[in-house]
Amino acid sequence: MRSYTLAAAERMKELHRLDAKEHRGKTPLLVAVTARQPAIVYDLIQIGADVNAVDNKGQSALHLAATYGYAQVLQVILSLGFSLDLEMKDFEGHTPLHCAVLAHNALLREQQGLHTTVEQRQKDFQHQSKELESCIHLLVQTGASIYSRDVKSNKTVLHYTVQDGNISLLRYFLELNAFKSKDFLNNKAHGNTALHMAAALHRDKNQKEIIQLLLDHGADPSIRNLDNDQPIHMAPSGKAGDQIRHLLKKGRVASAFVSCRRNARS
Amino acid sequence: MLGLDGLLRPASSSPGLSGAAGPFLPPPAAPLSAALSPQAAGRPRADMDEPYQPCLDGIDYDDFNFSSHMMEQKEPLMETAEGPYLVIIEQPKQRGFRFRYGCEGPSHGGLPGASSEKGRKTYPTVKICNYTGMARIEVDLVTHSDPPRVHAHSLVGKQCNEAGNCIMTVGPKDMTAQFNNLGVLHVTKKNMMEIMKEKLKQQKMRNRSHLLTEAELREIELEAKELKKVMDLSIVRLRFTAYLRDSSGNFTLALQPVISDPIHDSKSPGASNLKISRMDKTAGSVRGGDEVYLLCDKVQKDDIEVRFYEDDENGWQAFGDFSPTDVHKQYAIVFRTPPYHKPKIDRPVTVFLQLKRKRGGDVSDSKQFTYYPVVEDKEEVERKRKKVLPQFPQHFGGGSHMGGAGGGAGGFGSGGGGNLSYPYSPGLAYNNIYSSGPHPVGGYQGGVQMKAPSTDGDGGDRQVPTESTYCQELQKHAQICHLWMLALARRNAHALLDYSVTADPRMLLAVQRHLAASQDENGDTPLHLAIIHEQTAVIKQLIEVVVSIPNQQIINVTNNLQQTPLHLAVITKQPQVVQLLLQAHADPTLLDRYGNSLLHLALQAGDEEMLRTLLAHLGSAAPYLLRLPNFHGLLPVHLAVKAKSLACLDLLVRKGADVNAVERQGGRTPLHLAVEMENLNMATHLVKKLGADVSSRTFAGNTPLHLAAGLGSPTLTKLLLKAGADVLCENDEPVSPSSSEASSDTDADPEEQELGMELEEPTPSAEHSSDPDPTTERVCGETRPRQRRCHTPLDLTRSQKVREILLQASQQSPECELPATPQPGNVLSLDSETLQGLEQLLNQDCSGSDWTELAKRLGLCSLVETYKDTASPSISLLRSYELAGGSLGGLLEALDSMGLRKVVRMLRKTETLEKLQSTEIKEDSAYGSQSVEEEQPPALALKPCPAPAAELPPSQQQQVH
Repeated sequence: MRSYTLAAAERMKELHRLDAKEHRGKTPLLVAVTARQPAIVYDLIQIGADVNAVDNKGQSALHLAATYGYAQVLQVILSLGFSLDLEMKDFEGHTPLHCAVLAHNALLREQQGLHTTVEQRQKDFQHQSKELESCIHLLVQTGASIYSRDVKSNKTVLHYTVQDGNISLLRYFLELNAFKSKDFLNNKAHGNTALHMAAALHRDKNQKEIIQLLLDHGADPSIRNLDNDQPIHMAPSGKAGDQIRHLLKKGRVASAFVSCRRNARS
Repeated sequence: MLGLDGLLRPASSSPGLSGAAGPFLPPPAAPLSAALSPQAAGRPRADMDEPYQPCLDGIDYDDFNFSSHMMEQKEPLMETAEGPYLVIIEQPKQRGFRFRYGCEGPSHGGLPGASSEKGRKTYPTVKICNYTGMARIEVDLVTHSDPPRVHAHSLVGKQCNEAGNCIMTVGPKDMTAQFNNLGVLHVTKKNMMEIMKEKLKQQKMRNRSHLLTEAELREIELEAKELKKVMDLSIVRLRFTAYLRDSSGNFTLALQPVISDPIHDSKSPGASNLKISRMDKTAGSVRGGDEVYLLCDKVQKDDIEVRFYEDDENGWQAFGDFSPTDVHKQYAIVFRTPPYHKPKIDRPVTVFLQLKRKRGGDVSDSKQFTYYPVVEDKEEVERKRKKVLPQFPQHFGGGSHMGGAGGGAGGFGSGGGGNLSYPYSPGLAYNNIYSSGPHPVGGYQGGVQMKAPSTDGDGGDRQVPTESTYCQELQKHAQICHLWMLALARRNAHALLDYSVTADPRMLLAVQRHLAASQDENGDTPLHLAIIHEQTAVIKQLIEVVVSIPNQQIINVTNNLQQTPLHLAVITKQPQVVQLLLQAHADPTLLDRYGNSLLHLALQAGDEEMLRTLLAHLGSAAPYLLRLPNFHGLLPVHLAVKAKSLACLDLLVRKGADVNAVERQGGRTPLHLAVEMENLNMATHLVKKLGADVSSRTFAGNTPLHLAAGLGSPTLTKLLLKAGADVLCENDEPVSPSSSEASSDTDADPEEQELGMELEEPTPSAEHSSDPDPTTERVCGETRPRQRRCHTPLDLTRSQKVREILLQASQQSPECELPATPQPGNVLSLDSETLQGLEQLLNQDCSGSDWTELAKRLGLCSLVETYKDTASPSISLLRSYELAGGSLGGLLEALDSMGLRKVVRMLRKTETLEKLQSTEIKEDSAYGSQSVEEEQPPALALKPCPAPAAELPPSQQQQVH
């Protein structure tokens, strides 16, 4: 099949129609990506297909590969794409990294929503999430920025992972940030920091852990959002929220301490 | 207590009053009530307040545990089903009534009934059933949680005593009691403990005569503390308790108390009405997860949910997914839709969504939301893979297109028939229209070659291990196929012969008809293709053939864009074809992938002829389709307006479409759209010919006039005004969010608010100290409630011209309105003499500076420019002031603060005169001045009133101190 495709592609190239679009605006390359054909993707890029071509939704090959979690395809694109724009945004305002994170979140949600423990399904899920994770790792390693924000709501990957209680990804991103600035942690998406979102998570069993994690990495619990609320104010009321509040209070003391020390040092 | 008993006994010495009252009911009613009156009617004022109180009792206010001796007494009355009992016939209105602080003065209008409306007011009403005779009904406030406990707020009003209870006597004939002057007195934080303790003490005292012990006092203190913690000061309930007379004539026989629905303080944040004003999406995938932006009225971010529900037996409900951080400033929510309860649906399903408070559980109006079936194979990879011929690749793969077609036919035969989705070999001609440009032949062939062998490869991989057995099977298969093909060929040959004789292509088609459902790579059936290429003759024949196949909905098959042949016929504008299809019973209710029905498609193209055909042939489906929105929430009428086609609109309306139908995203009618598009022609037509409602409001409360004013279009504004649009109509957005925020802030802290109140309060009372009269109250009552004035069209326009038109209109309207509703105390009910005097004083003295100053004080600065050059600016000013709902009190305040004592005196004089004349009206106005929103015309609009209240006090203070 690969050889036929290559032959066809060569013919098309002669006719300057290698990037012809079908009715949804997909070029052959994009079709090959969605069909999960790394070899063909390789061929097409080699022969000169436009790697930055987008379909009617503004999604490039990277977006599609990241959304569907086709790690192999993604690897091929990344290894060949000389002029790749990793921060390209689709018409929803997401970079490929955002797409992958969102897909991972969606998968997680679906998995949690699924109460039947059909083994096959569980395996599928695990497999898919592995694939998505490796996509994310690939993107990050190639240089996709974890700091870029989406256009629509100004969120970074951190916000997305926190909002869906995706603790494994959160941990990964935080570790990536280990030596970097605090700005990443205290980034505001329309006023709310990741810690706000973590405090406002409801019914999430990982909530405490997430907050602890954020605090450990230096999230500032004293930042106020547009409503002038601190994360502590977003915590659910009642008993469930008490522990959260406790955590945040402790965090505040700690951060004050840190900043004191820093001041003293400087 | 004993003394009172003695006092009462002789008056109603006939024992068993209830029994006695029955037989000689009508005639002796008068003497009886006369006899009773000293106790029941005449004296209660004095009695009830002080010494009477302890024995009013009957119930323990905490938990209905009656002390034992009381219990025995009451048992018979309460237990018998046929015995007398109390029912609420009219519940109190749950929302929109404001609790007042003591400093706000006594009269703000009574708590209205649940069904109270403008012009037809009702009040909470109870009735004692199965009993006639004198009875007393007591009302007090209890908490909204069960068990009901005594509430810190008190009732105030005419029949209320100092302890915050309301007492009314009913009977002996009419056993209903209407409470038309109940107010709720908001307790202050400072006094709360005291009042709670007092109330608790009282209820303890009721059942006994001796004083409370130390321990009990302590207990009360504790209880009050605990109550203070849990009590919700923004919700109360009314508890009605009826007392009948006992043998000694005392009202001690208590009936089971009844408790009303909860009443919410309109000032508390949780009590405002929930409302959805706009959504960016009204349709989403059945799997959920679509992000929807929803604009709404004020909500609390942690006390709100978006509820999806279906209104049928299974009672499905689910909640939108969002966290408090997704609520933007209390006015917008971004949420993800929940999945529908069935993952698979074949048609769009419409459900409802509404906002719901977690606490209290109150909900907003419902809006509709449509779930559409999930799009499997989103990127169409599967479909693209199917393009090949899976069974006979070697035989036909490289062949010509005709060869490919033959292969398709053969394959079909072997499959045994009925395979609707069998991939049809692509023909060159069909494909051209789908390619994005002129498609070179060579390129296309390359495509076919590329795809055809692709499964060959796949198949090969799979076959490797079982190649030999597979070959045997294949041989067997081939033999059968061979036979089939022979038979088929023979039949085809016959058909061909028949065709040559008759020249009727149906002969050929009839043999092929089982192929009529075959689809090409775009999912098009032969019928689709014939329609796309406008082969009318072919279409006719195909339809005839297709219809002859029983039980197959070939005529309704959709292609990959979810278009049926009917959709295509509409899109390609072929009315005759549409007619043919509809006559062949094609389903006209199917929707394409954007939820468009046939009508939507025809209207999007503005195709009048098509629309006519459709409407003529739709039959029973027409009413359904006329009401059906597409996934953008637009109805056919809206699309007609968008297509700027008057003719289409006429057709729709004539067929029964509702010209005032609202679209789903923001609640706009066709008239709104026409105005938005600044389409004067369309708007005129809608208003004049089709009688569109000019006062219809969107979810956000905007009338078409708001939009016209906002656009600054003088012509549209005139048109709407001429059609009777209300200039003073307000939308749902308060004028200055900053001031409303400020007021809500002060609300959070009652003390602070009280301070503010106290600052305001002395002013009127100082002014009117000589006459402590309802007018004072009325002035306050009228100015206060309009805390939240919303945008009128006038506020929205920036165009001078439109402003003038609106102002002019607002001046004309009173002339026709005024006679109908004469408002005592309003400016223009001053007689002409006074007015002239007033004008002279204002105009002559300082060559116009006075009336501009007055305008400023009345908050009408914006009008100064407009009136500058008129003959009598001050009269015009006063007229607008009245129009805007200003009251005499406000005017007096303003004049007074300007130091125009003379004018004030003059006005006072007329006022007192008027008062004498209008004593009966006072009563009305006292009720009229309640805070329930938008009760009277002047309460609607009122820029000036809050303004003087807010602006004046400082200046007056300076004068006072």
